[in-house]
Amino acid sequence: MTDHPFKKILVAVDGSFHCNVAARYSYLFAQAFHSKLFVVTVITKDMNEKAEKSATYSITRIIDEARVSGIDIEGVILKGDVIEAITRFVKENKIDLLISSTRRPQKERRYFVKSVTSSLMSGVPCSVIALRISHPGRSLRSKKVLVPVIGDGYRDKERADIISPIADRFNSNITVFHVIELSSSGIKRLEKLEKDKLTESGEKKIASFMKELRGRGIHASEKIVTGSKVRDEIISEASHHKYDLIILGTTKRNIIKRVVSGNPVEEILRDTPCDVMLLHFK
Amino acid sequence: MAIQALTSEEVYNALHTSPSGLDEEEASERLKTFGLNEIREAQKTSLLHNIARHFTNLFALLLWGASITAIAGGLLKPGEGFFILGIAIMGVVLINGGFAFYQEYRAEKAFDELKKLLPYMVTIIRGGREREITASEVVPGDIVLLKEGDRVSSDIRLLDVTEMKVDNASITGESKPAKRDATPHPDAEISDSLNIVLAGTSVVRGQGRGVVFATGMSTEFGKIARLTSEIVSGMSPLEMETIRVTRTITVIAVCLGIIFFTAGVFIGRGFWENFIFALGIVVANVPEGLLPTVTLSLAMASQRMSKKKALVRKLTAVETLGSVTVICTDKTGTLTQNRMSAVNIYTNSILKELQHIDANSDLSTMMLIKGSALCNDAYLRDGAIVGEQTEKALLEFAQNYIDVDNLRTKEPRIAEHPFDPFRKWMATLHENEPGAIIYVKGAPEVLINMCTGIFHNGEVVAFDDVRKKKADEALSDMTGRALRVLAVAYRDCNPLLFKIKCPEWEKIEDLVLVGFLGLEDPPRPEVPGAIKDCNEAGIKIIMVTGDNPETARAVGREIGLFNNPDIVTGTELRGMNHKDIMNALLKDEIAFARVTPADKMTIVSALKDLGEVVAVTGDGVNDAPALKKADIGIAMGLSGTDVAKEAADIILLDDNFATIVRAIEEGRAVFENIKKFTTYILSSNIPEIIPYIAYVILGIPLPLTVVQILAVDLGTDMLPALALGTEPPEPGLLKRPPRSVKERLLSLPLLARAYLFLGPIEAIASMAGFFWFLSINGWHWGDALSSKNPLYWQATTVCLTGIIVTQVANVFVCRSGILSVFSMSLWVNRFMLAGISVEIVIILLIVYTSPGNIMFATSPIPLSMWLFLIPFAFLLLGLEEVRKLFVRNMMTRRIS
Repeated sequence: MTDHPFKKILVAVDGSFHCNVAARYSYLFAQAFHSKLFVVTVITKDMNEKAEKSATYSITRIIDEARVSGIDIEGVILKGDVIEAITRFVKENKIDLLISSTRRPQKERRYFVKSVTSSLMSGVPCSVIALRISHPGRSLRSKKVLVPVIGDGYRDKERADIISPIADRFNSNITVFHVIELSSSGIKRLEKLEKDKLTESGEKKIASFMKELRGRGIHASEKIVTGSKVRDEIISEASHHKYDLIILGTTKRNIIKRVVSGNPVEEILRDTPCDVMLLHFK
Repeated sequence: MAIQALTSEEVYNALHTSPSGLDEEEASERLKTFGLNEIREAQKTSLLHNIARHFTNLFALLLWGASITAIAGGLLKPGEGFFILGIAIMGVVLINGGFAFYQEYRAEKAFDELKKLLPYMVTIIRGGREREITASEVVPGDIVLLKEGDRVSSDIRLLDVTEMKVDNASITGESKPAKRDATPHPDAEISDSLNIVLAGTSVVRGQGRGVVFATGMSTEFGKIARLTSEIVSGMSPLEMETIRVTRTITVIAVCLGIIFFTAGVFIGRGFWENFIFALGIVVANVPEGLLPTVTLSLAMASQRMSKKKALVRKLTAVETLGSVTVICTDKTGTLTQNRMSAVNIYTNSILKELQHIDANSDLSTMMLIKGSALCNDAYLRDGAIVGEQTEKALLEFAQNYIDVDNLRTKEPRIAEHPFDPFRKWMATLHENEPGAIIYVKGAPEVLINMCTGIFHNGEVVAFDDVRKKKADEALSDMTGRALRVLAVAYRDCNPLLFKIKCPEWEKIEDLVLVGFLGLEDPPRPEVPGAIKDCNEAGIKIIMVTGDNPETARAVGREIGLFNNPDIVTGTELRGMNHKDIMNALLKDEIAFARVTPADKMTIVSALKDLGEVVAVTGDGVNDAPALKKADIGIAMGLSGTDVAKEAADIILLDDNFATIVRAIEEGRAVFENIKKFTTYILSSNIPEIIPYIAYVILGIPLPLTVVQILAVDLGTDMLPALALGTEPPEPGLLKRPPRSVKERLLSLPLLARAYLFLGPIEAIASMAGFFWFLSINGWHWGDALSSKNPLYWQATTVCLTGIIVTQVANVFVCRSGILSVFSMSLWVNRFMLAGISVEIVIILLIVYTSPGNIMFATSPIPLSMWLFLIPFAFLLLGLEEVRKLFVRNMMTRRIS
């Protein structure tokens, strides 16, 4: 066992391609934190025999793969409602980190809001990593990682903890990205000195996070840009510079903010050209 | 899981698929999760919404309110002219909205052009069966079959190929087809890997089978589409400034209207009197003609630009060009002529000019000629050489010494390794007399490292350090003369094995260097002058080329672009962080070499983050994001793809850099001209407001009606203002620094000149005429005068005529803020003379025709009143000349 807070990690799978990729990401953390990994599937009432078999087979396959990598892993099959069963298991087994994939259950529906993963994120008493797999060709080969910092630092230490094994494993180039939001006409009127001042303020905002990364031997580069919409700048950066992974922290935005300015996380998940790792710490 | 690094088995495992493909259920599940395999355009505001926006802004809402109130007034109190006024104001809203929409509107078709590059149907294997499905249904994990002529629907990792070549132009910009294989490439990037075919490319030869690993907007092509469609260029500086001006003036006008309405109530005037007054103040202050004049001025400037070979696709781009501070330009074809020809060669350790070579007696030179002719995809058709520019030059060179057709018949090509932009060489295998021979042609810095021998006077000798040093020196000498240098090498093959694959062919190494060929692409003759103009105009030019750094340096020096620049290569650029790139861009002399079109966007983004106004040139599909990102995207009319042209703001019809500079000068002239006609338009606001103030404060009959104000603002003022918009660039316009983003159209000096100097002179003229006419016709101070009294009509007509007469003089005055009217030729702007003529004709029609009298409540005035008013025009001219003289003296004193 480990000294790291994430002593027990749970990865939820359902036999789908996405969950299997999420499970492979979980090996990374289990290895880095020397944690015990639980791979859990929930057999629900509406599952047909084929889906049930696929979920069960998925567990066997993941256990085999993880054991090859020397991970202490245990497979668990639960029955009942997915959210209730996993929440109960997390509480009973004092799980520290839950890893799950988030995907579009139906065309045109939201990826994240009201998804199983988002419900788990708000319901379970542990930290959650939600993965959205968009580009299987770049999954689990995170050479270029984009870490947007929206607003002030969000759980800098924990976030750096999650980035560290990825950077170590893939020798990744980490870019910490901060967008200073201004109206498009405001941006056009900015002169260099004003931009410099804004960049300085942006650097201050990400300073503590950069320090945490440096403390773990990660030499991340920082990029401060001005833009009219954070979401657009993140997607544009990821598209132009061909990132393999975006690691994004998510907090519970209050309802008014969500209504007024939309949900950037939802928008990023919908439009991302690469995989996204959503972090939610408790 | 680097898909390009995996073996076939690992690929299947990673993507949870198999040689028989996904089953239908899994494919359907993945389709739900990954979405349709299609590129989606960013959500844009609808055309209707855009139109509606221009009719519902603050300015328009104010006028709508005024119009509805006036129409209601007309219905409640008929016979006071309110109804006509309401309709006239409504006309103003419609005209302004229409012009604003026209100025902003541009049909966005770049995305449609991109869509054309994707196929509609795809052959796949699902559940072990081969079938055709629509491309949008393809999902990651699907096994796709590809054959010659197919367009590629998604990003695919190849598993089996037979002689496959793909055209990657849409992604890499490279026009030559690139070979593909199915072996793992652990060190390559996805987009460069030989075992990957990308969506938007096409198979030009062979066939293959592969597994899909990215679909839709996650593909490399999808990223280009996203960047092309999602980058919103936003409002141009001029659009922002026009909105600011109209908003400011509208607020002032409304405030004045409210103040004077309240004052009227306090001094006991009736509601309708106060209403007319307040409305008059608002209408007089609002520059109704400004937006149509700006739009028409831009439209005319764009027409002038098209005559200078710059086709404007968005009107506001005309003025934005004038603010450009940095131009990122391609080299080949833009700064140079893109007409390659061989000028010298390096063989037998000697660098020789072409006129000094004797091919017949020099075996090395003959070998170089043969290599140039055989390792070459250009060909002869009807006596002309067809092919890529560099290859055409090589074939032309060879043709001067040998019969190329005969040689190609004698030594036919058996196989080839096509040119690869990342490998930087091509090779061809030929049957020849003793057996077979491989010719290799490519970048010297790469080929030198592949050679172990050198062909020297007909013999192969070791390519030792001494000879390498000599070759390096020759190479430096050649690139230092701005030449594009190609190396030619060869290797003999085993004669017994060449018909089946010989090992020498499978692994190209141990070559014999034959020599180098120096190709010249002469600069365009106009370019050095244009660069000098840019330097004087404070515009920085950054060369962004795919060529090697030394050639870039030499060409830049030759055309006077720089002396000792920092040259950043594409590889270096991609290794730099954003801050480093911005710091590098601050250097006075910088150029980028060996860059891909995708790097352009990085450069443009960094420049924009430095606060620069950036123009960038481009021609390829993947130049589109950079063209959209820049403040001004300039596409090449001759060599550009349709996607680039659709993404650009301006198209250069001759691909010439000098045309950009001419267009910038025109753009700068536009802003100066807008200032000129803004002064002209604002000047007439004062003689339009003063009558209303006098009407309330002095209790006199209203000297000017609201409809008469509109006759000036939207009638007589329009053409002269437009004529001022066509003034040619003033001398020395390109010697000034670019306009600052902070510079306002409504500056304090401009407002002071219009409102405190020119406007009051016009007000004096019109009011003096009004009072003089009333007094000579028996009116006394304090007498009431009905609005239906013919004397009142004539008096208001005199007031209106006074404004027009002085505005005629004002046209001449506003042609320059500094120069004397008498120092400027009348004939360079004939449109101005036509505008003034029309202005006079309009006022004559208003004053002396019945329809004019009815519409504007005017009445004919005697000639004597013209003679009374005309001297005021000369007074305005004279006083303005004195002011200009004073300003010129001040400037001279300041300079000395």
